[in-house]
Amino acid sequence: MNPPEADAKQDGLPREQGAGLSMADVITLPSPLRRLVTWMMRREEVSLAEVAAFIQGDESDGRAMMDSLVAKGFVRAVQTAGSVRYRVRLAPIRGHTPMFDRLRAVDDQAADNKDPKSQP
Amino acid sequence: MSRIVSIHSFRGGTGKSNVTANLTTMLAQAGKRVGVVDTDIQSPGIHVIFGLDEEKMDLALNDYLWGKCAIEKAAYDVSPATQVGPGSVTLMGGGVYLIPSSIKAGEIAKVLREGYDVGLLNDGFRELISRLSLDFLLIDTHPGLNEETLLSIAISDALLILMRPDQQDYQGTAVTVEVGQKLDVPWLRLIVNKALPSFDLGALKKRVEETYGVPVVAVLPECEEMIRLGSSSVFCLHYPDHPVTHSLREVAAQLLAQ
Repeated sequence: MNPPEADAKQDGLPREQGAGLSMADVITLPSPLRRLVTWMMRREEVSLAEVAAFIQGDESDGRAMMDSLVAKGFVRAVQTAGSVRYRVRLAPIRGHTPMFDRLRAVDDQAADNKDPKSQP
Repeated sequence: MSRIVSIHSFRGGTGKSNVTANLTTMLAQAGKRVGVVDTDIQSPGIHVIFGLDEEKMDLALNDYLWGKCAIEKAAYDVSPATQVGPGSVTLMGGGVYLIPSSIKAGEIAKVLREGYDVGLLNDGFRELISRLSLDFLLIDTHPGLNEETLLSIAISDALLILMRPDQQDYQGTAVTVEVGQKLDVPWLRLIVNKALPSFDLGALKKRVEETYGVPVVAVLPECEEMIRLGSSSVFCLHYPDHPVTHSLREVAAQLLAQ
């Protein structure tokens, strides 16, 4: 089993287990995962077939991805009428604190991607 | 199909609540059932524009988030507030349902101190749409970026970002646009508000679009009538032929066309 740091480098996911995803986590996810999570949030719940279609893979690809996210506590599997549906599990807000440390990662990524925006 | 629209700005004082109230009213006048959620839990205010008396505000979004009530129980039919002034139109099938945040200091402090389950907020938006048969759900957000604001943006079909032609707004708007794009909001537009009437509004629109790479749907001039009204009612009802009203109608038309 990989140590947590090495594991994080593999999938880009935050390490804390079982706490759910904060929105600050969501925007700092690697692009493919962020798109998947955002897409799931807009749909409330999704089926394995829908996940597979979204990631342009087959159901085994979708299942592997969902299993990974469920194991990390970021997605919840819901049994409904003999089938499994998945929904994003969001972390509760534990009091409001400035998010600027978390959002700094977004700024850093933006700076890497393009020149700073000039003022109009 | 229902649509979720977030109205956001990085800084406060951009006119979010007034723009939200006007767009809400215009959508209702077009025969749509519109919900408005005030997620500005720290500094709520849109209820004032719709004339919702604090004394009659038995339940608020806070109560839903603390598990005290179903979210639709915190919804108030404020459609009568759209039936005043020369710009009022009989709502043919349309309606406005406001879910205010609590204005009580102790309840605001409790949210800030204890937080809440963001997942509940997401569920609540969907329950509202379903239980009130809404065509549109507009979310009046807290300025800046926090968890509920990011959630609102993430689940929105449309995001309107307000900014003033003010040096302090420029950088923050860039961050907000970046976040909206990262969260794959399908329809993202800018509104420039409170521009001096002496500005070349067309040139300002062009510059802002070039800077952010995002279409500007309206450039609204600062006007004395808006200041005089002082958030006591919905602007378009009292000034139906004002240039600000015309510009906002174009925004509403674009939302309806989506």
